[in-house]
Amino acid sequence: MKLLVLVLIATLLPTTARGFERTEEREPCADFDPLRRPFFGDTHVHTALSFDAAGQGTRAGPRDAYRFARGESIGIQPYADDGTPKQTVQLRRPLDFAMVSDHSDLLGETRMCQTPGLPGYDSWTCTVFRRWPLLGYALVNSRYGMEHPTRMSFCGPGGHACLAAADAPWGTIRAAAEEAYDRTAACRFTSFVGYEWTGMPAMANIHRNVVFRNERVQASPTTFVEDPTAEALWTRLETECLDRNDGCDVIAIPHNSNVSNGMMFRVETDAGAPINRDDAVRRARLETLVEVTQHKGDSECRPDGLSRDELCGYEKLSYATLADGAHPAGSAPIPPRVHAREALAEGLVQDAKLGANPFRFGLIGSTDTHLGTPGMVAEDAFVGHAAGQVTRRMEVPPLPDDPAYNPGGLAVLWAEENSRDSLFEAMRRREAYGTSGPRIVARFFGGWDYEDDLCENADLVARADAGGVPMGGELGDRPPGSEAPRFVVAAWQDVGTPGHPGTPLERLQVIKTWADDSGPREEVYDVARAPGRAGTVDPRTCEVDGAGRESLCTVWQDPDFDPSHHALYYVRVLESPSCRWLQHACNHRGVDCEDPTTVTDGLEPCCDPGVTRTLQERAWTSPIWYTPPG
Amino acid sequence: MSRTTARRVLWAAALLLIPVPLLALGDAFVPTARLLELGLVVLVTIFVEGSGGVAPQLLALFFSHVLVYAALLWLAAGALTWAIHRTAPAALGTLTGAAVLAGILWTASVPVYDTPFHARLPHATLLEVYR
Repeated sequence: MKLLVLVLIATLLPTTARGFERTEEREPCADFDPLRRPFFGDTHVHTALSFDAAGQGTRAGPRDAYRFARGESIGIQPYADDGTPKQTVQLRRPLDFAMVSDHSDLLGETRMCQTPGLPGYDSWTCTVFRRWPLLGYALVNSRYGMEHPTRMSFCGPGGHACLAAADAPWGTIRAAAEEAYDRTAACRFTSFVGYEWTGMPAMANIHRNVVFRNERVQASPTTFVEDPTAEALWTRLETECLDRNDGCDVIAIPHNSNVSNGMMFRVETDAGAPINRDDAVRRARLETLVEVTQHKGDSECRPDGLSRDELCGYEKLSYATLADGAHPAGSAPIPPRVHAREALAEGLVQDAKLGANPFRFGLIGSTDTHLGTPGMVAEDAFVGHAAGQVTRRMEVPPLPDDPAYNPGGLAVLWAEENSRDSLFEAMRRREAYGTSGPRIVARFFGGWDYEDDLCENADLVARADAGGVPMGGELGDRPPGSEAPRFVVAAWQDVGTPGHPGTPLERLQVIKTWADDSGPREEVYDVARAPGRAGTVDPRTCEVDGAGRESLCTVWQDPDFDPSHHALYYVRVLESPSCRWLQHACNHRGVDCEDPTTVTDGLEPCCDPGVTRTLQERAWTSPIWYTPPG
Repeated sequence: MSRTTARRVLWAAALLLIPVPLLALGDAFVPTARLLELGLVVLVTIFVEGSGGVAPQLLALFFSHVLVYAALLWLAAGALTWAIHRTAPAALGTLTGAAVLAGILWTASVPVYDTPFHARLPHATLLEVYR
């Protein structure tokens, strides 16, 4: 009865009082902050239900993944003959939210190939998959990466057998999310129902993670084989969710545009025509976020971009598609508009032309783990993610992953409370940011009249919030007398955990892109920097010297503002240098490159001069946009 | 045992036992017979599912390896037969059998194979690699 009353009260409260609309039955969170708090999570998690994960020995299912996200330990491959895992992993601190996003494509095939008695189990292809999983993976996955993929023969006419077989794992995904979701007032953990639409025409990655707001979801997930374009996916999401008008709500989050071969941020329709205003509005409505960093590389910006930004070299893959990963030297050149910054800039050009911006998206990070281990981002405890290539996971490998890959990042959402509605609305309004792994806290507000000394003010956030818009927002009309927009840029370092302190911050940067008559432009401004010497790290020990600041804050005004140009601004927060996962792994294994006897089989990358050993962990906020009047 | 028979026996044993590198797919050392088996698996898959994806490339990769290694091992078997026959012609059969037995014992006791496509152990002995 008490619960019912609470739910009724929560439901009847006006949206403005809570800051978001409640669309589900649950207790209101006891911990509610109208000025919003950062919640850390991972929206890109694969489990044994994904064909490629299963092919690499993953046995952790959605329930295991959520247990892991909530802080419990789980076993991962390799497994002994009696089924005992040979490795156990655990987060140092739980996540606030997570979403299992298994591949919708091959969801049925994976089950059929592993479940005796189901049609297809005894098929040739399933037999190959069980006997030689990685060969099966290569044969099947590459088929689904064709320009016009078709179902395997054991799926029967129209692929119906495989589509029907996907019902059970889809039900498992939904049930696991429901069980993991804390609907009590404690609000300890939020799970989202979702999946990954794995579009891969001609091996170009146009993948999207589909996130549902609540338990009202599609009857079955959309697949690339049946709906082979992003437009087809959006149509499904509209007709099978948004247009139902029963509270079903959804967004799609593109990822790995870095290996999309220019296909992710197209400004043409499927029919080849230039997009129009309706197309732009539709895309901006459904794709409010982009996963800017993850296991298979960073997609923020290109090192040879417009501003020659030297910090764009972070975790870059050197090839245009994952198919080229086996032979990067032979890869086709990386085409334009594969990075988020390029797309954001193109969005301004389109906005000026169409009156609507198709690439009005915010930024998040996630892992893309294929071990069922959301949020496993610690560089010094990386056991690999087993994604994106054929790697051997049947024994503990000498090195946990491909040296070109990385542990991935986290999604951070500024929300009033840890509930699905509150978090989803943060995703919808783009009040979100990504980190490369550390739990950096970043705030970014834009307005016209912030005082210079706002950072010294005890109620900084309240005043910044009242005087402008947060990340993801749109600067309002320029008031008379204001010359240029002003921004509150603040960040706090990851506080770390006992025995594993966070790394101090080095600087804050504002990245501005704008569109003028010559096209997109960009500039990078250092707006706050820790005083004193720059931080360093000793690769032999991975000890950081402690240089940097616990927090940085400034009020910055655009010195080059032209009110007639469309523009956007986002913040990049940089930590002092620290060791990359490979250096940690090599040190743990006792590698001394001056002593060849320590460089045992499989550890050769430890001493490859071309491999990056240190990095600057970072965070990327969502942008704030400016649109000229008229 | 005739020299021709000895050469054929040694060649067959080499195809079944001697680990050879599989180029272009990372670290892999498997018997030529295993590459032939994998090639046949891919060939059947093409018959069953069609030639989409990387199946044609894998087929070419496996069979080209098989052809090259089969030829090289045939030459090596001939050279070994010639050497045994020249050194101890009367013991050709015995020494050929001993060589094959030594190869079996070696590969059965030491995990000399490294097979990335195996469902279980990538580092395998003779008994494990064909299981």
